[in-house]
This record gives sequence, C-alpha cells and structure tokens, in this order.
Amino acid sequence: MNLFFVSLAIIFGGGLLSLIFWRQFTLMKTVGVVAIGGGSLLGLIDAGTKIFHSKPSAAVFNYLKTFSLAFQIDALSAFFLVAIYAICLLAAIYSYHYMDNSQRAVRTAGNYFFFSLLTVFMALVVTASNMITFMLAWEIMSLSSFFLVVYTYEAGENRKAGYLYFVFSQVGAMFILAAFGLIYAHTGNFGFADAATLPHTAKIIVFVLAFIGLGSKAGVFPFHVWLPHAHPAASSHISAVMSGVMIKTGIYGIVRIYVMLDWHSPFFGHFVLVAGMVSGVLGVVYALGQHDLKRLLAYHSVENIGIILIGIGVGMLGAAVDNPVMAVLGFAGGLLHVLNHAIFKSLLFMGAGMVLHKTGTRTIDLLGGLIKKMKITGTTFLIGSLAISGLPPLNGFVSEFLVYMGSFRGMALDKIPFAMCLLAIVSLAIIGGLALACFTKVVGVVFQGEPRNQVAENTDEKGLTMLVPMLILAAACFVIGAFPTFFMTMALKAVGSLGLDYGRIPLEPFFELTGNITKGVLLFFAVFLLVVALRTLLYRGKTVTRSGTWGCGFTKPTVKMQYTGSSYAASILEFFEPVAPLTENDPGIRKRFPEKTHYHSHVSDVAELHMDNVVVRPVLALFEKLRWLQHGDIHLYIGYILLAIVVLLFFV
Amino acid sequence: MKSIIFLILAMLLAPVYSAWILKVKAWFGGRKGSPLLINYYTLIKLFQKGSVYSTSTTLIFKLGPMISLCAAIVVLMFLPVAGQPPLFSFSGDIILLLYLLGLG
Repeated sequence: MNLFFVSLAIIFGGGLLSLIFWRQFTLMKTVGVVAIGGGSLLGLIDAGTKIFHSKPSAAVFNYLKTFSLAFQIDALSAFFLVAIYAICLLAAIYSYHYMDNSQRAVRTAGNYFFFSLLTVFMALVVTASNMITFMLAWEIMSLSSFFLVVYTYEAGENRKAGYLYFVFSQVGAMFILAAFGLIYAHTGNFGFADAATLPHTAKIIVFVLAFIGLGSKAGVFPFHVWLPHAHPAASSHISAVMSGVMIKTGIYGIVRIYVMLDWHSPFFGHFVLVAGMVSGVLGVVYALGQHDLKRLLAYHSVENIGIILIGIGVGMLGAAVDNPVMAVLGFAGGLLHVLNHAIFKSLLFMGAGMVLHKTGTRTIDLLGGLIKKMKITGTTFLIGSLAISGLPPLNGFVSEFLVYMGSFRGMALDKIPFAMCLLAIVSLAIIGGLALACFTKVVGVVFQGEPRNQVAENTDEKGLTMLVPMLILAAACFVIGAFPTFFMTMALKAVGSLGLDYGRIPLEPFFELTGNITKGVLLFFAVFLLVVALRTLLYRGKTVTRSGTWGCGFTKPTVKMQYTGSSYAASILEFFEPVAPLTENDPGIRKRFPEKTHYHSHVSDVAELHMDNVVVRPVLALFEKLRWLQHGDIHLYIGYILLAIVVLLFFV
Repeated sequence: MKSIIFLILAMLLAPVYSAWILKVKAWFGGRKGSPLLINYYTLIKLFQKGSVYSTSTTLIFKLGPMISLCAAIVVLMFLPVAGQPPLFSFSGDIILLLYLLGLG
C-alpha cells in the first residue's frame, strides 16, 4: 500500500512543482512530465503486481473519529489502476511537445497541476473503500477535470462546454449521494460492506440512483450530453485521459455498487443491458453525423461505454441465472474492453491531437491526404480505427469476442433473458458495422485522398514525444489482439474479486478461447506474409508507375471532387433519421448561370434536444414559481431561520 | 490430408464459379456466353502486366486487395469443404470468421 501512496505523492508533487516553476517554461514542462510520468510508471508496476495478489491490501486514516478515509486495492481496483496509470503515463509524455505555446506559461502550469490532481484522484476513486472517501475523491476528480475542460476559456463554446460538464457532474454526484444516503439510512455507517443487508426494494432504488449518477460520468445515453462538448474543448492529451480512463471510473462505480449490493437479480442485468445497447447504437449513429474530429471520437466513447455495459450486463444476467461461464465471460469481456478502449481511444485522441496541433483545425471536411505528410500518425490512427471497429487481429476484437461468447451462452435461456441476449448480439453486430463505416469515413476523408487546402498540404509530424506514445499504444493494440491470454488472466483476476463465488470453475476453457484467437491471428499473419511474398514475386521485373487518377476524360479535376465526411455518411444517417434528426441548409443550385451555393448539415442529438424540453424548462419553470421565497427582505429571512429551528426542535 | 487437397482445389477452382454464373446468365439470355475458363485467361493476362497507381492513393490502396485475399483464404481454412472437416476449428470461430470477412 505504501508504494501506492508514494506514487501518488510523486505525481501530485510534480503538479505542484510545475506551478512553482512556471516562469521557466521548459523546466516546468520537464518537471511535470517526469514526475507525472515517473509516478504513474511506479504506480503501474505496483498495480500490475497487485492484480495477482490473492489478498487485497488496505489502508485506513482516521480523522476526527467519524471522518475516516479508507482505501483498499483488490484485483478489480488494481485492474482499473493499471489502465489509469498506463494512459496517464503516455498522456504525460505526449503533452511535452503538445503543450509548446510558451506564451501561455501560467496556463500550461495550471494544466499540469490539474492533470496531476486528476490522475491522483482517479486512482483514489477506484481504491476508495467507504462512501466518504469515494465521494471526496469523486468530487475532486470532477472539479480538476472541469478546470482542464475550460483550458481555452476565451472561446465561448468552451465555457459553455465547461458549464455543461459542471452541471452534469454535480447533478450526477447528487444522485450518487442520494444512493449512498439510502444505504447509510439502513446501515448507519459509511462502509461499503454492510450494503448487502439492505432490503430488496431499497437495493433496486440504490442501484438505479447510483447508475444514473455514475452513468452521467461514464457517458451513458441519455446522460452523455456533456461528453461531446467537453472532449473537444480540452487539450488532446487531456481528452485522451478523460475519454480513455476518467469516464471508466463510472463503470468501476457501477460494478462496485453491484458487488456491494450482493444481490444477483436479473433486473440489474436487464437494466444495464438495455442502457448499454441504447448507448452503443445511438452513440455510433451520432458519431457518424459529426463534422468535428474530436466530437466524433467523443461519441465513440458513448458507443464503447455501451459495449462495456453490454458485457457487464451479460455478466450480471449470467450471475442471476446461475450460469457461471456466461457470467465470467460477460464480466471479463466488459472489463477487458475497459482496458482496450482506454488504449485505442487515447491513441485516436492523440492522433486527432497531432492533426489539430499541426493543421489547426478539427473539421473533418477541411482535411485530406494527411497520411502522406504524417506517416506515423496516419498509420497508428488507422490501427486505432481498426481496433475500435472491433476487427481482428486487434484488441477491440478480443473483448467483443468474449462478450459475444457470453451472449451465445445466454441463448440457451428462455423468455426475457433469451430475448436480451439475442438483442445484445444483434446490437453488437450493428455497432461493429456502423463503427467500421464511421472510421472508414474518418480515415478516408482525413488521411486519404488529396489535401483540401494549403495547411493540410504543407504539414509535418515533428515532435518525438507525441509520436512515441502513439507507437506504443498501436503496438499494444496488436499485442493484446494477438496474445490476449495474459490480459485475459488480468481480467479474470478482476472478475475473481467480484465475490461471485466462482473460484471453483476451471479457467482452462477461457485460456483455450484466447489461445484460439492467438492461433487464428497467427494464421492470418502467416497467410498475409505468404501473399506479400507472392505479390513481390509476381511483380518482379515489371514496370510499376504512378500517375494522376484518370478523370474519365475530365481534364481539370479539383480537390473538391472527393467524398466528404457528410456525403459518405449521408446514406446511413437517412436510415436513422427518427433518432438522429438531420437539419440541412442548402439553397440548391438556381438561375441559369449558377451562383455560388453552400451546403450545411447538422445532426441533432435527441437526448440534447429533449433534455432541454423535458428537464431544463420544467425545472426552470418550477424555480420561477418559487421565486417569491427570495424577495430580499432580511426580516423574513430571519423568520425562515427561526421557523427552521422550531420545526427541527419538534421533529428531531 | 484430404482437407488440404480440397482447400487447394477450392482456391484453384474459384474462378470457374463466377464464369459459370456468367455462362448460365448468357444461356438465359439466349446467347452463347464467354468461355468457362475466361477468368483464367484474364488472370494470366493480368499477371503478365505491371501496374499504374494513382498519385492520390497511399499504401492502403495496395494493402487492401492483399488483406481481403488473406481474409478469404483464412476463412476458407475454417470452413468445411465438400463434407471434409475443416483444417482448423474452435467453438465460436464463426465470430472470428465473420469479423475477418469484415476486415476484408
């Protein structure tokens, strides 16, 4: 446990020191990067070994008797710690060349400070073992990430994004607090352990309340509204951390609450599955309609949270119907997807960050042909795209494969669980297909084709520390995709700590499963090498030349004559019109000698639209009616206080 | 052993399949149609040629056909051909296969 706190102290110290050294720009950055990176590396090693410990380690700090801070690292916590530390380490390295504007020294120092705070308190959230500690760490984590979101606060939209994020995280925290309050009302202490003694109806209410609160952080539909606003606003390495691991603390919370309540009701499974399927499918549909690269990636986080929830839901369903294999497969798939998503999503955000940093734009339709100038960024982004689409031989496939296998087990059940598993399989397939369409759009429009303007044409990818993390993450995608057995063991250890009492089921079949994936992938590589060899053999001694694309006799092709992101996605979006209303602004081509025209489209998010009508307006109207309470008359205010005291005297 | 022979046969005979479809279509149209070995002639002709790539394309353009060929071959290895057991198989391999085809 000591090593854990030492690593946190180093990280936090790095943040403080970079605040102190803000005048020396390079020194400040170096201190921040080395301390946050070094601390994360230490923590990563520590957490990596702790996964394989059979006994959880714990620490308690008592403060004023009633206020005790308690931490505990079991395999589940350690699993999430591994993801958090690994991504924070790489994001810290990435930030060295990314934060290169020495005009904004103070702000950069602040960025490092809040980054270190965010890292520390994410680690504390997943290790907290009582409610007070959890809420404290949760709030500081939310606040520090809020300051990171409003990094460029001059832009009005960023302030709006920060405000939205702030409201969502506070309302979410209220829901969690309400859930914890209910538990406290029954058990009379702040520990997690006694929650299992709650009556069943209370458990359902607690779970739903906590799910709403934690889900608003995780970005579960319809509480994801802040996500596509906040991620583009933050700087890219922070987006990588927030999207890669911070939203996963919500998933951790959901799993932890489920373990705490210790009641394997099918209701939980169905609830989580439905939430997962809805966010998965809608997340990817909205992603297809985006024009902003980072916003698009943010919607893909909603989608992947959906996949994770489908996995966990299948696991819960398996636990409810006493099917240990299905439960373990579902939970392991969901947890492994947490790690996988952390890896490829931060890879993609770093790639998008490189594009933004060099070209100054996030608009997909303004970019093009970047892979010629950005070889490494383009290639790693392509690998990340294939991974997020869940294609073999990359890591996204492995976790989706496990979830599929878990769902197939559920096909043997009857009635509602059967229908749920069927729906899970169908929605996983839809998600996979649409994600593939979405990323062919991104890779095709941004990195392929011809550059659409001067900036996209004259760019480079300098910045060693930005390239290295991307290469590491891309390699990790391949390693997990080809040799998942080790990572599967990690996930199984984490599942083992869920207290499902499945210690007795043999693990060999699961390793056989991952071994088979390895076999299939190696076979694929072997065949691929063979085909490459065959190709070079056949091309030997033949002329291979390059020339312009044949324009079917049209002699003056321009860069405008390419697919744009909007046109590529249009046919799919048409199908999803009911859930993704499309507003178009297109005057069309008029007059005999056509004038300049334009086309603008925007896909609205139904959750955002209805959040305004269903929640915000009624709440505002209600408070408008209660306005008479606040009239500015000090005498009546004192009267309120007196009234409150009298009422308290009578009732307490 | 038999499986391997069938696998190789399946790969070698694949071009006849689409030629056969063409032939049947032609018959229905009352025409004579192209010869059954048309695809082999085309392949032989193409193998003797070089290539011209557009300047707009990148490495992915060259990788594309290779990857999809690989995916098809690997999938073929997992599928039973003519009643023979496949070369490789495991439970849930169908998902891997479908996704491999997706990759292609």
